[in-house]
Amino acid sequence: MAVRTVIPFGPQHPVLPEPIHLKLELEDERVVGVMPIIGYVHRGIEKAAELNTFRQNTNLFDRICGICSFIHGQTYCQGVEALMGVEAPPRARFLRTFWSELSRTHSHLLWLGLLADCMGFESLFMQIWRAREIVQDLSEMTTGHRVIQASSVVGGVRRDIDKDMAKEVDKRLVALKEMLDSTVAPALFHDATIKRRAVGKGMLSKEQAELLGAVGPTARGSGVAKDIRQTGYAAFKEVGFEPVVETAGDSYARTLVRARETYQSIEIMRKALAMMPEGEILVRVDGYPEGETVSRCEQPRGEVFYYLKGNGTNHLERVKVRTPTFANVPTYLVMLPGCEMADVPVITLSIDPCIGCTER
Amino acid sequence: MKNEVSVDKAELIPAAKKMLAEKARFVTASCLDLRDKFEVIYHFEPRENPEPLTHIRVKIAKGDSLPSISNLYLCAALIENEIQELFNIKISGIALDFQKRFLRARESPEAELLKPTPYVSQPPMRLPVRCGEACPAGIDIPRYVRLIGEGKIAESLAVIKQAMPFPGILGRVCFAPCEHDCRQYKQEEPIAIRMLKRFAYDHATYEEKKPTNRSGKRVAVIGSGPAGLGAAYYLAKMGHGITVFEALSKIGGMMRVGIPEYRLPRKVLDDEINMVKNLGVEIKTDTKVESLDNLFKDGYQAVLIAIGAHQGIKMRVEGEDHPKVIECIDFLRDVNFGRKVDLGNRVAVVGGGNAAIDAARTTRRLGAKEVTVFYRRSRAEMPASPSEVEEAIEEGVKIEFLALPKKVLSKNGTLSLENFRMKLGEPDASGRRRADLIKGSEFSVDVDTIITAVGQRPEIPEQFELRIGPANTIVVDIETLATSKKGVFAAGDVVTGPASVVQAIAVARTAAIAIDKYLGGKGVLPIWEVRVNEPTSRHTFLERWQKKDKRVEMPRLSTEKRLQGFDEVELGLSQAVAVAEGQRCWRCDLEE
Repeated sequence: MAVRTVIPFGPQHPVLPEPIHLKLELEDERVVGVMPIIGYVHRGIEKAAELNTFRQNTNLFDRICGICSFIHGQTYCQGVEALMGVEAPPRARFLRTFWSELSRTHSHLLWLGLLADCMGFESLFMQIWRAREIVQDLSEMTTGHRVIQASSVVGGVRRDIDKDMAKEVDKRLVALKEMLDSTVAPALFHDATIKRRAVGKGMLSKEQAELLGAVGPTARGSGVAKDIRQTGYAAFKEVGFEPVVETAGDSYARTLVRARETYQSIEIMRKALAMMPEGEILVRVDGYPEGETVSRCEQPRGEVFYYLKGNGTNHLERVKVRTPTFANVPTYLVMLPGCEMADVPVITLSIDPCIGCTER
Repeated sequence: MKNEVSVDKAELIPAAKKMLAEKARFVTASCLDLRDKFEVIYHFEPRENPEPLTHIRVKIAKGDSLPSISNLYLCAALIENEIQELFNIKISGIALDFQKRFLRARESPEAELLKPTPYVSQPPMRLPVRCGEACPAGIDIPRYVRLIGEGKIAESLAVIKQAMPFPGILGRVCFAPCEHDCRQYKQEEPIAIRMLKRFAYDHATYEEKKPTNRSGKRVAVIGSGPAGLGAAYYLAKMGHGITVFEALSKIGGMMRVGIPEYRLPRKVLDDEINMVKNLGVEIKTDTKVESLDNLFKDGYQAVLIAIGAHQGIKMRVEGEDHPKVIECIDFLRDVNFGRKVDLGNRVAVVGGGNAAIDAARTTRRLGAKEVTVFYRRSRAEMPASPSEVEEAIEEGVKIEFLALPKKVLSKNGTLSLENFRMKLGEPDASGRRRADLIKGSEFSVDVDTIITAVGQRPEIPEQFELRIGPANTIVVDIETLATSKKGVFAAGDVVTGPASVVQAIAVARTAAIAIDKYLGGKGVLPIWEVRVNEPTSRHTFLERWQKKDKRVEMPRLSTEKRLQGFDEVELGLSQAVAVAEGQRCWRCDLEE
């Protein structure tokens, strides 16, 4: 007779960087039911956005998430620009592309490191975070801050990357790729321990992913070829983009998607810098936003959605943010039941949960 | 906003049903507080083009309730729950039960889909192993050793054949890097992997499948050594018409010229060559290719150069031009082609590689009484394989370590070799300890013949007009092995400088794939997985604690008999011994 137990997992747990609480219902060692509970870090950002002026909000949304901060600001700015009928100059669009891919690389490397750490693969964790250090140096060099790039403003971007800096960035990106090739990629792609911990764990079929509304690498790991970058916002149309898709639908497939996307992002960054046209980086924006719009971008974790409503004053009437993890949390409902208790950490981590974003 | 539809509360579900029928994706819902009422906007993404989104707007009075669309779109449950909590709008019939603590589908029509994947225990996974990774040819070593341990010799041979065409040759002459990487090497008892390969070849037959499809393309292979024959084998299997051009009168390249008969009996070599011939490969002996362009004119679409490294390197010492100073490779060629070589009684061999040891052992068999090998470092640094050195010493070959030739002296018809004494210093770039001269330590030895074996290099005809790299090798693309000329590929010693048979065979496979791709094929080798019912856990068949941890000794011919002729020294394993050795493997490739 199987023994039924309820095990609380989180909100403080060694493998979880963020506070999500899972109530796991177990039969012996096997998970049969799960209840994700969130609400530990709600900050009321949507309400705060109504109190700030619309220009101040850029800084607010940059701080929704510490890891994918740039794309939040970018999405917001793109939305406000659409409301006010202005368009960011071409150079600014390329720079936004560069920084959004930089923050994707940053996020993916961070997550891959956490995954290695969660598997107890400490040396790989150190190696991946050593590579991530290059990305942070690049961030500091180009924006002045190692984590929060905060370079998007309504009408363009705040900073420029000149020729010398672009050359240096390119050099370091090549070094980053080499470092990944020599230390990280062999382990991620071939190591038996990683495969053993991730292959076949946390299965999410394509139908289930679509039904549960999964986005980003979680959906792409299950064979859903959906990526908002395909719509060609910022400079993705010019640079060219093909989504990375794996079909296995397990934790390993999601890992592979992120690992391959890291390489893809490095290429996109190098291309964006090489193709970047000369010109203005910021246009003057007069007046106040009025009307409604939605704006979407691809975060490292998936599609981020902004609904904006302006009423012709300096303050927006309503801003609604739907972050990728919010859409991905329901996938736990099919990924976790049926697995063993020991696999819960890896599966939980495999959607790259960012609860800070989710609760806003 | 574009594409928006305003509906009232009752029309919400039909509108959502319409979206579902169009297979639109639910993105999220936004709720607005309009002071006197609430407005909920449902955002959908059309299936065909992601932009623009479709919006369904519903206005409801404060205190009113909304029907849930989560029975249609399960993913809407979470946002509906959020709206319910933040705005205090009652949403009725959310499909996921938030009250019962465990989040489960309650009345969703899609509940069947939501059933989690049933738990399946993972099939055991094979791990990468050190022996297999050390093999240049990539043979699945743990598998064939295991199959021999189970007595399935034919299956074992088939596993070897999957990776490499010549098990008989490699089972005798491979320098077996796998054995050095075996986990039992630390106890100095590595599995006798090479002997087991030879055992599999000697005791089983493998039926070669003839190519079924013909591509109609023709490929010329220059050189019939391990690289040339190996590539010919794979290319023939892929359906191409192959002609091998051999400059010498006999086929086999360095395998016939450089390896003495007592290590590789000619019958084994001939059998392996016949196997390749039976695949429809045409081999033209005594045909030296002078011009690549003529080959293309004769209708060959691609050329593979695998001419090896057959030119001996000089010692660069004084008096080297004496007729009694002969090069090792020339000497071995003469002996192996049955020509008479006059050596005298005292022979000095200069060098420390396998070629030097082969030459010394051959001279002993030809009747030389005193054979000395001069090597400038000590035994530990010697590149020759230790077992061969050991066998040479058994046969009465003397090895003079730490000796470097200074000059060759000839006075009144007597020949003598003057040497420096050396001492070992710090390790150099190659990892071996450097040998330094000791000044004033010269000593000389009277000899009748001096054989120099200090290295070889390729000899590439100038008419080939190819880019030549360091040490007279052909420069190739490391991935495709393509040379500077279109349609011309090169592989083996001619690219790498003198290497081993196994490396040449390994690169032959790469060359064959590259050439097939060049000819418009897919580069897929026609190889079938060997399907045998094998145990997949170490514990099912292996009594690990059984005491059988001594490495098998290869039975050898007695020293007297060896010196009488060129009979094979190693006699091969018996079935019982080989099976026991196969069982001794620790099966590092199996997980548990």
